[in-house]
Amino acid sequence: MSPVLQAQGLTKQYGGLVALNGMNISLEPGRIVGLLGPNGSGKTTFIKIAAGLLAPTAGQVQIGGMEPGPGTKQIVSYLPDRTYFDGWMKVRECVEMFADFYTDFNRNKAYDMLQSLGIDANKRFKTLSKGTQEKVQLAMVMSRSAQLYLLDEPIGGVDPAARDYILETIIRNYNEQGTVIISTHLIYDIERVLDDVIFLMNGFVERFTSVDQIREQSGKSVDEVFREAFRC
Amino acid sequence: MLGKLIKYEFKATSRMFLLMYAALILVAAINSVLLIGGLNAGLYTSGNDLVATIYSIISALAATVYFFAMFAVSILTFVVIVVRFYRLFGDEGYLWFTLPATPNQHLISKLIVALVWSLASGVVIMLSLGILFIGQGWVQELWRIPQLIGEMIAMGYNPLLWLVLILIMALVATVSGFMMFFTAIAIGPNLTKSRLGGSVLAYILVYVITQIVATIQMVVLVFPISQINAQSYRFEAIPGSAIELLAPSAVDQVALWFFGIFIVGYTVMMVGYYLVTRYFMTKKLNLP
Repeated sequence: MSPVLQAQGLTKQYGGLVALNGMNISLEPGRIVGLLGPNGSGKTTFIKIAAGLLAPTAGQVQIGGMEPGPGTKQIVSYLPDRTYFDGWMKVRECVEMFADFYTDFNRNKAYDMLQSLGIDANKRFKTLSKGTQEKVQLAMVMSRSAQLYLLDEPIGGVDPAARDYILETIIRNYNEQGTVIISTHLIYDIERVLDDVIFLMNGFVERFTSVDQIREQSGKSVDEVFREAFRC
Repeated sequence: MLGKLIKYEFKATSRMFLLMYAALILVAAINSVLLIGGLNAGLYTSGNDLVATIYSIISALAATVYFFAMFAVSILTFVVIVVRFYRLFGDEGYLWFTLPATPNQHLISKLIVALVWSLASGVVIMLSLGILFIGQGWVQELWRIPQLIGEMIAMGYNPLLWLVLILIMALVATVSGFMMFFTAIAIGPNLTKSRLGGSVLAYILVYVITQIVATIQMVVLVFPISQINAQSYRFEAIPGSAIELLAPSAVDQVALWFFGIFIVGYTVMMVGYYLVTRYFMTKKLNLP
């Protein structure tokens, strides 16, 4: 199977600071991948490059055989760690906007998800709490049938009780031929849904392996292995 | 894709503009009523000093409000469009720049919407003036303008050419005016940690470079004109009158040169701004 995402020597420098340092990785379709690493390890930088929001300094990344651009944006569903809708928009208008721009968007799925999350589609975005705004965006992103989902800290802003529900929303709704990349440092909360993990350290891929392998080889959870690998 | 971008750009901006236009028209209508009422009732000249004074104060206040409203519409038209572009480089950029659209589509949609609102603001301001002075006799005189144009054409002049030149100049000047701000905003985040500070700094930079380029353009473009032999400008007497006017062909030539310089100048700037903005929107995009 051809990889969904392939990065070769991917490097990003901000002035003197090296955020990504020759990252190589190849991701197969149909996997849920945890992108794990301490603060400043390059997680968000990698995701922004893959989403087409940042040009790499060197190296390249291909998604579905294309460099980031309008073509990849059609098959990539990206959830940033920001709230990005105009506050005046009603939730319903956010849904219609996604339906307008993305051919792989499923309107019914979005309304179902909003309903089960208890969100009133007639409310204006700015009247919602920060956590609810993030849920709306997650519902938009997961209602697409994308080849690659890039989820940057999808559970960072919501309370622990809602985290399980959101993870369930993610695994129940993603396109099974697609790959999901979840960036987070809340490993304990998400490790049960992961197939593979990438440990990112100072812009390098320190480890890229399956969760089963980690458990078999070390007899420990991903969370424990992570804490050992990144002990300060 | 371009059509969809334009549609959402209008959706996002129309609330502000329509509100603004409604307010201006309302203020103009109030002024119009006060003006007509005051004149008809002879209040300004009535013997009753107190009533006349109060009425004058109210009218003066209303006129002041109208003046500021008109001023506000022109300034806010610009501000709303520029701020909207500025927000593209903040959190909202995470939405817009991940849509499956090209940088050209983003820029062109912004420019088309900016032009439409500029034109609409101009029309609404004219309309408000029309409402304000609707009861005044001299407004009727405006209907003589088409007649005057007809007379000029009959004399061999070409006012439609001038009009077309002025319109093209207004178009390129407006686009290049917006693009100058867009360029500064796109460069801004690369200059300093503060996005706003960076944009202001970038604006100063862009402004200085613009002045230098404009000076070079003037020298390059004005020089050929000075080479035209002044002898070729003939003056002709208007039949049946003692007045001599510049011959129609000479007027057209002057108009072409005069507006041509500005049109070429603004177009060069516009293309330059566009290319720089597009480069910074793609290769140097750096959302906070």
